[in-house]
Amino acid sequence: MTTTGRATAFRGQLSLPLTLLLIAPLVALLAWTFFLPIGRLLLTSVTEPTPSLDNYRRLLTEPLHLRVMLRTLLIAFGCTVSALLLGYPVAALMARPGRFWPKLTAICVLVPLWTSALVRSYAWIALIGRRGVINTALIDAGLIAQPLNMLYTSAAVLVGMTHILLPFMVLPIFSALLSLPADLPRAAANLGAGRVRTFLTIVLPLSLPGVFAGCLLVFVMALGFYITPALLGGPRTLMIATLISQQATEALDWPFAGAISTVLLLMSVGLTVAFRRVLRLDRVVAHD
Amino acid sequence: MNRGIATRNSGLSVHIDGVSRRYGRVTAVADVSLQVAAGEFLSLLGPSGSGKTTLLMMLAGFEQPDEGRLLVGDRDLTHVAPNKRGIAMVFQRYALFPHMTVAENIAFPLRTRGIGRAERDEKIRNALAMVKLDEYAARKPAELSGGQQQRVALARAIVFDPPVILMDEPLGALDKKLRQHMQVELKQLQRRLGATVIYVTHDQEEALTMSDRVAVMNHGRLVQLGFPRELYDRPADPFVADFIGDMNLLPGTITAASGSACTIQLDGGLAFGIAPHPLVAGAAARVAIRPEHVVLSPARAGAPGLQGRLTQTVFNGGTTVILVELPGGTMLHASVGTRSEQAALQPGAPVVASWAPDQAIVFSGFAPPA
Ligand SMILES: Nc1ncnc2c1ncn2[C@@H]1O[C@H](COP(=O)(O)OP(=O)(O)O)[C@@H](O)[C@H]1O
Ligand SMILES: [Mg+2]
Repeated sequence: MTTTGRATAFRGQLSLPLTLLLIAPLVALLAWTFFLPIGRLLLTSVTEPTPSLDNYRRLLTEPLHLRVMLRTLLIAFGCTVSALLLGYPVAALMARPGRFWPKLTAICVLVPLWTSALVRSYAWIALIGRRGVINTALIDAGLIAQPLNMLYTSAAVLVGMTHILLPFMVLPIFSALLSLPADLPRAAANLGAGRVRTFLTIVLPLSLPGVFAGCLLVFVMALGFYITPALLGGPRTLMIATLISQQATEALDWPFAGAISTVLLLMSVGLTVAFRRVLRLDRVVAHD
Repeated sequence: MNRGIATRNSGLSVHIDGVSRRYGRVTAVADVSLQVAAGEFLSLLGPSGSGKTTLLMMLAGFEQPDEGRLLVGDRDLTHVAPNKRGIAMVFQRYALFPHMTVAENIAFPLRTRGIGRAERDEKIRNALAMVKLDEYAARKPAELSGGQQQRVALARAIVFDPPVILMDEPLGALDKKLRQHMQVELKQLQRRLGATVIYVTHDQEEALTMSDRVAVMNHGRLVQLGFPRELYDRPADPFVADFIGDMNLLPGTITAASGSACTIQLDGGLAFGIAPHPLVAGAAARVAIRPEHVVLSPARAGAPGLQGRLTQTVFNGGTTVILVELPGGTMLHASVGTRSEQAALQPGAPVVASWAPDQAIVFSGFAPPA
């Protein structure tokens, strides 16, 4: 059974009024603290300073802002690709039969998830800064004379974000691999397929729903990532979230910040919808 | 006209030589030795947990034996990778690839063997025709019924002309009617292909009807290997006697023995039987007698046999089963023709049960009733 099949088992167990009553507190809280302020911010982007689309025109015509958006897309894409390449083998290890390795891997994946992204970003500064662990070690070993410039580069942002987003790639792939019946790779081997062919023709295609889900999660989260780019990136690696924060807190241009936020929101929602299309197509191949 | 798989060369022999497999303290397969002739249909029969699947997995290469060797033809496969063994396996839950069509599933073993497009298409057509699924080539497995999925699994297994086909309870998930139908088809298909088949089942009827020979397993051991008739008529031990067909197993004490013939004191009287192993007077024993071999007659003073009382008659179609309670409380089943005189006996009637001595088998080593 697919996860959707399992999810429907509970459907209809609670009456509609009771369901509404139960979710009412959360809806109220979200409405008051989230949707209302956000809605107002987004609204100001078309009402202030005058009712027009000027804010958007400005965003889409100034080369600086376009470059920031393009860079954000590129870094999010790079994050997704590297998280996929690094994460798939980890998920495969976690889904292996046996105890020791799967458990150890699961711990290594999950424990960082419980540590704040802030702490982990500072850890990267301690590691790759001018006087960080790596530079000190290399200089002490006599391999380099001057410290390497690693911090405040796009590469630092990419590495740091990949590290923090990796679990969100690993977990959906792990779940997809876990639901793959063990008989299928065995049947493939029995019919003459070696390890590579079994992986490429059976395991990989059947884990694609997990891959898509992981890519979507990582890409969308990377688009709006704030702390890590702010800490590990320099002025030349400005990303959308940092731009929004600058406009709101330094330039105090809230309507413009609202316009950027709207564009970010549209990109995220658009991507989610597009990915869901692909995912739905993939349902057709879902296994029993 | 009959090209492709229809005129394949015959199967290869399989030699299982002293094979054992342990999981921690559980011995799943214990020192099993077995020779399967080329083209033979051999069933591995045993209750759940008796090691049948483990033995099959070792033949397929998914489990390594702790001891012993496995040979197909004269090739030692013990340490050969699963994908290099060239023997097919039909899985209990079919293990069809859900993202591939029926035709793609069947093409899979041909692709791994590098068989070209034209020959591949021809073989797929032939295999589909063999399992009567010509119309379904473009369907996905999820769009087929259980019986059809079973046929696809079969087609995928035979399409590359394997000399040996392993099947792990392949009909276990089908309902009874379809199962009986598939039993006949499977058997016909095997005859046509000439492949050696090792067939795992826990259904003794299935094993008896389909197999050339049956290997009965219990607790990881091979307890008896023989023709279906042999197992039915001459079970080697009480387990086989009880497992195959219906059987009365009556506890008693040997009173006299000469050669294999012995007299035994049972609940309700003296009886006769044949012992496969020599027994001595005074030993505890059990008599195994099939219900259809029990002769019932209305009680008469001095009639030889077991005195008892009829408690119930159960109509079973062509036969009727009569339940007889012996004085000590032991129940004896007798199977008689529904139109016979005995079937007309009423509950409560005193009866005498007897049998021809050579129909009863006497096994030693069981405590007599207190
Ligand atoms: N992978 C395994 N790990 C531990 N024990 C196993 C494993 N596979 C089988 N066994 C044990 O070996 C015994 C035989 O199992 P199996 O071969 O599946 O029996 P069958 O197919 O006759 O039902 C059982 O007691 C089972 O619990
Ligand atoms: Mg089994």
